[in-house]
Amino acid sequence: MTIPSSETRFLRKGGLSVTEVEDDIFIVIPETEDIFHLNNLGRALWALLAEPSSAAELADAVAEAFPGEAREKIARDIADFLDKMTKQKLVTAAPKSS
Amino acid sequence: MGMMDCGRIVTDDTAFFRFGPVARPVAFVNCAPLSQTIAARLNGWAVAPWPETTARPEPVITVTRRENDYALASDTIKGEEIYEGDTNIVCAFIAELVMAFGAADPETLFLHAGGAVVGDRLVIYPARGKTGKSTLTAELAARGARVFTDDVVPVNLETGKAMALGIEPHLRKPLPDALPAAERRWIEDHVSIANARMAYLGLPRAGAGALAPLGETRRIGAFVLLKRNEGARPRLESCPRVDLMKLIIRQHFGAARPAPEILPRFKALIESAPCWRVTYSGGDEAARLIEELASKP
Repeated sequence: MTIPSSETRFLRKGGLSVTEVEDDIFIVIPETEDIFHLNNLGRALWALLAEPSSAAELADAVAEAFPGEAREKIARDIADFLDKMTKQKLVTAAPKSS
Repeated sequence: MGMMDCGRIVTDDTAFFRFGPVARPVAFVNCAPLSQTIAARLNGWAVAPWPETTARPEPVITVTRRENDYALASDTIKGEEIYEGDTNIVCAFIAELVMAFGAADPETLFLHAGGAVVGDRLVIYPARGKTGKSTLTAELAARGARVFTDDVVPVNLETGKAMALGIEPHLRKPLPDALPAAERRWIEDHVSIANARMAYLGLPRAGAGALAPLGETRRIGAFVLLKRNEGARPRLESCPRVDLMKLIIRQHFGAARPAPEILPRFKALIESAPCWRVTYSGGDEAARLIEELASKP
């Protein structure tokens, strides 16, 4: 797993097809037809990634929703999520100017 | 003039058949009677010699009888596959027939699923091999349900309706030890063809436990996800549609449209009927729980 630098901001990629089912979403990359599933927490992060967001900002949002969770664990989970989403080409680093 | 050649030249004897709505012929090389063995496993399929007066495209499936086995070739098989015995070749042939049937229609999703009509409700239980769906289908037939499918069901994504393929269920042998005696006897009494590893069930074509014919369409009345769990308390409970969506994404074929177009249609399909989970450990638990769906909203 690559730990993102604290300055890196992430943005979801455009042109993806999203289908909502109950609290979850299914995302399709049209070019490859690869299909990904995000549960309700993943979906909430996906919504936040409509705007450029840093790992710390995402972790803040999760910590607010789950006050009982250890901040360190949340940070690890967010880093893991962003790593996977970046590798799968669902999320990209936002341009610095954003 | 040279010497007259009067020796018998042995040639392959090829018979071409039409199988129901499949557009291209099926060829039987040195095994024309096998077409009747296969036809007897089907309900609602018009199986007849390919008309001499009709142009004959390349066969979509070819079965060749060899000394000790059969060779099977088709559009979807690279080269050929070899099968010993009638029951094995019938099973492999029917799988290819379903593929040939489904090849033409991009609006049709083919789902690996069993299905039976319980009360007035078509219950579809998507699952792949070794989940016990064929045994469950046979059990439901033994208890009087109309069998819609035991393996694959086409669903029209425009109308949301499922269609029966009219294919006899086939079960793995031996039957599970936990099968109740009455149902075991019913199943054994209805075996049509069998070998050491599998058996087809010659279900009645009408009345209790009948096999729905090819082309019978019904709106899906419920989806059931089967969960076999040794020692678990048998139960019927509402199931998240997300679980069904994931299963359908993994277990379908056909519906030859791009994934971004297909997923919203899958969503419409899974939202068209309630979704249940049946947890069972054996015996007739799953069949009994599915029968309860007849009276559920």
